[in-house]
Amino acid sequence: MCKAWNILCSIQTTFWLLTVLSFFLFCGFIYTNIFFSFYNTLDYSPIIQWLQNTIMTDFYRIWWVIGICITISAIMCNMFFCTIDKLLTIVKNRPAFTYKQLMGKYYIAAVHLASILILLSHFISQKYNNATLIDIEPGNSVYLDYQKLYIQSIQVTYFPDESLLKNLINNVSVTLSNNGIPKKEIIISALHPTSHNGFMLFLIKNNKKTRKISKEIKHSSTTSSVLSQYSLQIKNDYGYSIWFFSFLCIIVLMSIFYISTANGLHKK
Amino acid sequence: MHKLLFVATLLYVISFIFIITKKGPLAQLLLIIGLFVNTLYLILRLYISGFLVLEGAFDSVFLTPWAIALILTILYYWYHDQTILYATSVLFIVSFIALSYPKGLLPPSPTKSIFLAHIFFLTESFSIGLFYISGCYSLLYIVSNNSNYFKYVKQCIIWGFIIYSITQFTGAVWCYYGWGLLFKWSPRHLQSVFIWIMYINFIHLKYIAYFDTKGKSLYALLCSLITFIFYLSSYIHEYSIPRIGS
Repeated sequence: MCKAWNILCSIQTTFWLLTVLSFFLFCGFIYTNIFFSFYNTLDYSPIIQWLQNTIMTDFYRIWWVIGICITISAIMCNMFFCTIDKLLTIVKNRPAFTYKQLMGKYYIAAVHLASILILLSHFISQKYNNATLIDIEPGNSVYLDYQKLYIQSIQVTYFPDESLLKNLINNVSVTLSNNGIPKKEIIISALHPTSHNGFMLFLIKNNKKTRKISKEIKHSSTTSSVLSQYSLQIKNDYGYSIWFFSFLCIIVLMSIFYISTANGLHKK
Repeated sequence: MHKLLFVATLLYVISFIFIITKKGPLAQLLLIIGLFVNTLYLILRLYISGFLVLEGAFDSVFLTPWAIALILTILYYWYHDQTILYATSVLFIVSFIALSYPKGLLPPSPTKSIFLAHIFFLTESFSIGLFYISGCYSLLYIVSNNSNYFKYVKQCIIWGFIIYSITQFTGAVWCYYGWGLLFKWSPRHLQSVFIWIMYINFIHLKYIAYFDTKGKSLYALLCSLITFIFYLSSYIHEYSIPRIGS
């Protein structure tokens, strides 16, 4: 029992799990290079459902995705038990640490707990997000909670004619309004996504190869052909909020930790 | 305009020659002049299309040599050690890659022009610059056993890792705003996570007894080489994309 706990909490286990994860990621890098379009379908569908649909016919192409899922789950368990173990050690030997050492240990524990939250948030985002895609056409209706809005106008801005970028799109913006009431207008631009009543509103590119799109844009002269390449996405994603604040927390804590360590080293 | 990049590369090469012939102050002077010329080149690249477009300068291929030159200058003044400048060898290799690369601008589009994209490319260039430099110092530590080099390796990797974490963060938010996803199952994203995981592993090596400083240096060198190969392959992948103003 004690040995199993030690293995579960060990940093050596972390090292080997991360090495295995690197191996699967490397295989993924090679496979996605060879079968690029096959993995495009995974981007916009729940991973469990995608694996169920492809496991029988395409196992030779998806084994590394399964490997990544299993390894990440194992890393999450390892991180959780390792952090608990470290926190227990801190509580038991608290008087033995100086304030600075104690803070350092708390920072590390917080970074690991935030990392677990990041991984969980991906799961929440996949499972519980509420996303709607709407074609960009004037008059199309948009529901934000109980509020019904309409696409009032669409504006496509091109780069100036005198530049080498003429015919290329600089920005696309969509105005939503509630029966023409100017105070309730929401402007969503491709360059500046907007949030409203807890919903994120952004213009996303449709699921096509970027290179193909840029060629199409270059030769297109009509606004409608440009707009067919974009959709208005309305997303209510709690996973994203958790992910965002956890990641931000990790970056801030790591920076504080290493800046204080570096200052200590410099003084020595 | 592109002659400025040639001049900057030439200055970096001469700086390297000076440092291996033990003329440290001259090497530093040429590095600073090279950095100045390189900065000028990046400023001019902003107007490569005849219209101010940030993508002109915020292109990883052209930003990385500048980032490395800036990092080396900061490191030199921080540690007051001439041997820091041995890493100009890395600088002239990446400058040669930039020199032989198509100089035009990748066609911009609103999703690629979002402000986060520029922060992404800026932080990415600094972090991979720090990783390349750490590889150079790892090699020097393995060859010479001078403990100073290992100190530089650790510092470069720690700061490279923090900046690369910011890259991961901004990249994911950019992907979310532009494509509605935090992560895409594409080679670029997998490569990026792979590099990040390798360096997370390096940070954990501190707690593993059977990795001595030589072992850690070898691991850092390997990570640096893999990072270089990955980025070189993505540059080659984008080599054939039609560019504007080349």
